[in-house]
Amino acid sequence: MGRLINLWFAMLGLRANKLRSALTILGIVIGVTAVIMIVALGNGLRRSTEEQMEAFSQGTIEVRPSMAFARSVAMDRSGGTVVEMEMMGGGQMRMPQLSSKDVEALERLGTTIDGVSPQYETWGTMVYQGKRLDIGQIIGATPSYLQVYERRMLYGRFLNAVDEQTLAPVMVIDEMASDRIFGEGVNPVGNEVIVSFGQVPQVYTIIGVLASDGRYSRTSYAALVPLRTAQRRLNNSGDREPVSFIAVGCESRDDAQRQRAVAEVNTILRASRGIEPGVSEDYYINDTLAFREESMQVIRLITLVLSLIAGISLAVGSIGLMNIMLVSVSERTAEIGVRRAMGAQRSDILGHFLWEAIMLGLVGGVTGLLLGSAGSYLVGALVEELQGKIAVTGDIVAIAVGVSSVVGVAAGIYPAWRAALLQPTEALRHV
Amino acid sequence: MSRPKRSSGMENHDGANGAMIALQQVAKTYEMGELEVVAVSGVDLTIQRGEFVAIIGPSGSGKTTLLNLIGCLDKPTSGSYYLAGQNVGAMRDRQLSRLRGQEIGFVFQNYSLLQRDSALHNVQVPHYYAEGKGDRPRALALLERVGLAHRAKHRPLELSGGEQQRVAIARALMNAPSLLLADEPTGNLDSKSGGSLMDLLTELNEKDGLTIIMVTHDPAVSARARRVVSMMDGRVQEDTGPDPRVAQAP
Repeated sequence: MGRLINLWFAMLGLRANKLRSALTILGIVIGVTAVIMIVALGNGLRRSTEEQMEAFSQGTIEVRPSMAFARSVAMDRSGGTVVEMEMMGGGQMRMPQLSSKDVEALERLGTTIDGVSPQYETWGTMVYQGKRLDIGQIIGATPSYLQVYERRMLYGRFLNAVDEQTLAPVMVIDEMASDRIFGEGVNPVGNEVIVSFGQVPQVYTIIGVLASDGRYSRTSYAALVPLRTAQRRLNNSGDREPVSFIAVGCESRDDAQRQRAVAEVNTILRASRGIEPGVSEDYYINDTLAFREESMQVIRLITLVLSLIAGISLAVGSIGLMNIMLVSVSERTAEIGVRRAMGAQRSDILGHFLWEAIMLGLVGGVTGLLLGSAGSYLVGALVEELQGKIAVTGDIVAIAVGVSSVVGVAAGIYPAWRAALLQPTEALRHV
Repeated sequence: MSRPKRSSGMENHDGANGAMIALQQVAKTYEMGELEVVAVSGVDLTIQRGEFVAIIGPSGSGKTTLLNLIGCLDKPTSGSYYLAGQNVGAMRDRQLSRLRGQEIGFVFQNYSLLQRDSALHNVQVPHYYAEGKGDRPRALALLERVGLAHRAKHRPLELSGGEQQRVAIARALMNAPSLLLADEPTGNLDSKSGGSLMDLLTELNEKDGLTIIMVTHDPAVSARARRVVSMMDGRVQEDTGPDPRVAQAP
């Protein structure tokens, strides 16, 4: 780059050709703006999706019965229920069942998990003061639910062991449902709702409201009742103690630790269900955050592909820059000759033209950074899902400035090198 | 316009015979594809400090090539060239550039000013390359010396040809060179401007002791020089001989 004086000459050179400089910069601006916006919006989208998925999944590990790999005839020795599976032929097909024995085994043997919550999902029509409620699903749950889903109470209390033993007709609802049914900020504890299931209407007393975490979750529009209450009074499946799924708590967000927890759950369940080695499970384990990981990967991939496309426009911009630098060098051959006669060294000429290219690249990069940031925040403000999720972080700034100066050097080095190698007499012939 | 010389000062390093310029059997050939063009060949020329030399000759006689060689813009293909006792043929680009910038001033036929910059900036350029500063007071003083102090902020296109060539001379003098090379300095000027430019060059030679070598094909211009070297087909055809004023250099 030689001496700093060449930076000053470069600035004079660019100022002398304002329109050309501006148009060249514009090419870089467009490329950098596109890259910044796509990276910033992609990150925002990922953050937003991540939060939504986390809110929805609550980060539990779920165990559900599965027919997919069941044997032709399977004996569920654990609960004593005979499960007949005829995969090949016709005949009766029944789901394998999870049992209280599985739940007990997990509770007793689990070391890497934070609580076990067996749940029974059922449906009923709910009426309050003659008005039908928006709640459709009724979930039978045990007291461990609160811990497994890391929830807090807003009003009243949660289901307890006594409710469970006495098959109490009590109910807990979510804050979002409560606000909608009883009015915002109203404490509905003590109110009675009627649940129609089968022929006989049943009366349930609301004993508590779960504090909402501000997002939609599994219980947002569901009612929670004691598990045994649901199994006895809201069950027409024919099974005595049906469990739809077992939610296993796992607070860790670390992939390796979650994988260990999943493996442990699997080991415990295989043992408690007496599944022989080499035989596939009659249940499947779903880490609700693994799904999140997959979605994140898709979003990352989309962001990457879009970034590449934006990168193409940046490449076009830098080729434009290189082209202009080449034109500039051949146009100013005479000037180069005169400068050489005035004592400019090769390194001065190289520095002069390289600085011109770097400054075009940098001005384009910084302008693109400002425009891209403004654009990203604007989109972030307009799109509800992205509100507060857009951040033009230090690494994005570093990438923009770094890439544009690299572009400047890359596009400028060859033209500048050609200029520097010109023989003074050859250059002066163009005078 | 005299000024303390930098440590590279050439006064103390002149050649054995005290000559400022000593060319021996200098040749320059260019390769143009398959063809080899001989621009200059077998030139022996010695010029003393303080001389005012005109190189004349028809187009293609090699006079501009010779001037470029003397100005260290190019290196001879064969033969030797000593400038103030230094072997130019052995120099690298960096040394040649420094020599051009600090010891030689150039004036071209078409002025060759930077069109987008002011007269003042043009005069400052050699100092920027030499020392990175631009010595504005000296540049202004030089513009005053060539009678253009009031035009310092003007761009070349706002000046007449004669004025532009005076700016070019001020620029050539910026680093206080000991040698001024001029390639057809009056070629684009009317006779009046040309005449006053020649007055300026004569004054620089006589009063300041500046060594001047100029290429011209105008007999009226070469008549102002104290020594005339005529070229033909790349060779020196005739040389009026060293200026008696300086011939017996110490």
